[in-house]
Amino acid sequence: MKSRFGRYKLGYSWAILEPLGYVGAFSIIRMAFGSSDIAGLSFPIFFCSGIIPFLLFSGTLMQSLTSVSANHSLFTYRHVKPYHCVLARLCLEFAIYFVAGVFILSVFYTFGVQFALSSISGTLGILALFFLFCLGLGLIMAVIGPLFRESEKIMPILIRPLFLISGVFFPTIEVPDRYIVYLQWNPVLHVIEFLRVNLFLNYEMPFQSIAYLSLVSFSSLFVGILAYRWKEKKLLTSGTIRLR
Amino acid sequence: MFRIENLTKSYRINNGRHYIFKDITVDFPENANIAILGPNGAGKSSLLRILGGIDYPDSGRVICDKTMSWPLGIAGGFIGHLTGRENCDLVCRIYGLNKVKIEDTLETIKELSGLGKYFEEPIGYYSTGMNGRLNFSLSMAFDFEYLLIDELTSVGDRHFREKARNTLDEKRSTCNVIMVSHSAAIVRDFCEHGILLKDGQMQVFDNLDDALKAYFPAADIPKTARLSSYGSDLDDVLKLPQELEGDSNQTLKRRLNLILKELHEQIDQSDRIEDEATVCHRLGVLFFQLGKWNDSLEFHQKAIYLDEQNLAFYPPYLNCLFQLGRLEDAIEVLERVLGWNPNHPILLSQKGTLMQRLGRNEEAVIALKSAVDLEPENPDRYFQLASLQHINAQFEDALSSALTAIKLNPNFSPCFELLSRILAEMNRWEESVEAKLKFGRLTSESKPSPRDWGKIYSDIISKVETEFRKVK
Repeated sequence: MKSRFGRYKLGYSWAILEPLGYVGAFSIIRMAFGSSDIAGLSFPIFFCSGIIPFLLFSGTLMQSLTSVSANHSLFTYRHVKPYHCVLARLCLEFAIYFVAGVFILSVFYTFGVQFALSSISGTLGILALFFLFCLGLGLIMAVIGPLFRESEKIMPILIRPLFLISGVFFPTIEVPDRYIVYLQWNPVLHVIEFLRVNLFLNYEMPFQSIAYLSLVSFSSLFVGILAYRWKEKKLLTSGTIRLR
Repeated sequence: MFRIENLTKSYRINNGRHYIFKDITVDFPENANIAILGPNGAGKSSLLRILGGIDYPDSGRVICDKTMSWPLGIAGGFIGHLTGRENCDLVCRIYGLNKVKIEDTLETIKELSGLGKYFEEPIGYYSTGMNGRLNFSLSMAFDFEYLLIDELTSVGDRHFREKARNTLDEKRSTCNVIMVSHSAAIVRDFCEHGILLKDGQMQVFDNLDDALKAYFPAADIPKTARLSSYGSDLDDVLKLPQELEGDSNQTLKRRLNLILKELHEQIDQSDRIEDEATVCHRLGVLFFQLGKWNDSLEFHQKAIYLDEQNLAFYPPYLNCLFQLGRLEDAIEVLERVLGWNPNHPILLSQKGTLMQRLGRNEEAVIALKSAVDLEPENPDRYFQLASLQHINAQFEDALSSALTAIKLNPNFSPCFELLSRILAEMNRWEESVEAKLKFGRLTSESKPSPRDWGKIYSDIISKVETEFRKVK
């Protein structure tokens, strides 16, 4: 499955350019309002730490959706199962965005944007949970994608608003309490805020429930595996998918 | 032990479900090369996919303790934007070869496939034949006990097929072939057992010839596929008609014999199956023109037997069956061929003629109408439709069809004759007479010369000669 990297030769640079573009756009808007930092972080760093996990999340979801149909030719080999494709794409996305994240943060650091790292092990722990969460959702998507073609249209519609409520461009500490009650159900928000807490010293978030995040991650994985086990044969059987 | 047990496989189609196998239990011959035969849509490829473990039946199972290759087919198996080398590398990794071995394997594949520099180009640029060659060569890199091949025409040209055959022979003791193919000649090259899929049934033949016979019911197939082996009969068959015995025709006779000799040589030399089929086809056409229907039929059958997929072989074959009055056989052939290719205008128009002769006029009209739709520029189709509508007493329709035909070809003399009869039926006498007069004028202009056999034959001969120049 390693050869799948070949596809992304051009995509590599985009992995860095894309979040940078978002960061740039937000920074300009934010600068127009005059404030220079958000919740104790300078804003490029803040946006960067929000947009990368979010892009990663939406990317894996959309990729998983098409993973079965896109890799159809590989199922000619009996050892290749759909979950391999989901896993491969997921690993690839994580690797790309991880490298991109580290790269962008270190570039900012060398150019004098100050921040202090808090806990690397904590960060990796959160990333691991995030990985499981994405894997679960990815498996679900891989099952849904080929069985309901419309999902390719619906998913972007669902992901778009998630962008607004996942704390990409605002810290939860600035959100009034009465909204927090609802916002904190959003696992993506959890991931992003947790990442910031673990990455940066002095960053704070009003709720900290690693238990909730773990629960969501593992249940997503559980449901994902269940759905996949249930429909694996159907994904491979000709006539269910190809005739559409 | 190699058997399939209670196998059921169905596909969802627009209205309901189509079963290709229903609760089938069959023992496969062990350690044998098996050809899977059957009309399109009988489930040959599905069977291969199930055997290869990449498709699942609705119920039932395959019992086999041998390793199977992936189904080698025209489509699938490769990623288009990766090069041949990268794709092979990927598959080697999937099958768990180690790094050192992969290096060697890739070189072997490159050599066997004969792709040369194209091996380093993306698969997306490959032709079907190149794709098949790579696929086959790749599969040779692994020690499969069964090689599943879907349409070996996908394995390139005759030359490569021989190479493939040799490579397979080397592996003979460990590797067998299960093959789907429409070409009897190719199947003969590789297999000795046959399985016939038809109407949801699976029939195992220990002898490939029996299977082929069962599959080509209309044709009585000779034991050998090579033309040259019955070439000696050719002279007998071609004994010239009585009319040619006169002195003045001696030169013609000699020329005809010369051509025949040339034909013999050509057949002997040709080792490309495609050519052999074409030669048979042309011989069939020649005999048809000479009025020797039975011989013509024999050669047409051979042509089709050698290259079943060539649609151009069917119309003259059907004409022959018509001439011999074997309408039942004609129906069977027509339905089989139209099953693969429902939009073939000539075949459709032939179906129309056939149905008309069987008195099934409604079906005839439907067939002819679709033929007309497919070839709206061809006056012959309209003429045929018009005459049928005339017989069915649909005079208005017949009139408009006939007029369209005349519009497309203003000198279409038989059509004027028909037009005149149609108009007469509609009591439009004056116009009818006019059409008849026009018919008279046209036919007197292009009246054939009196029964000059020599002329007609020399025409045929020069035609055949030019045809064969083309082949060369």
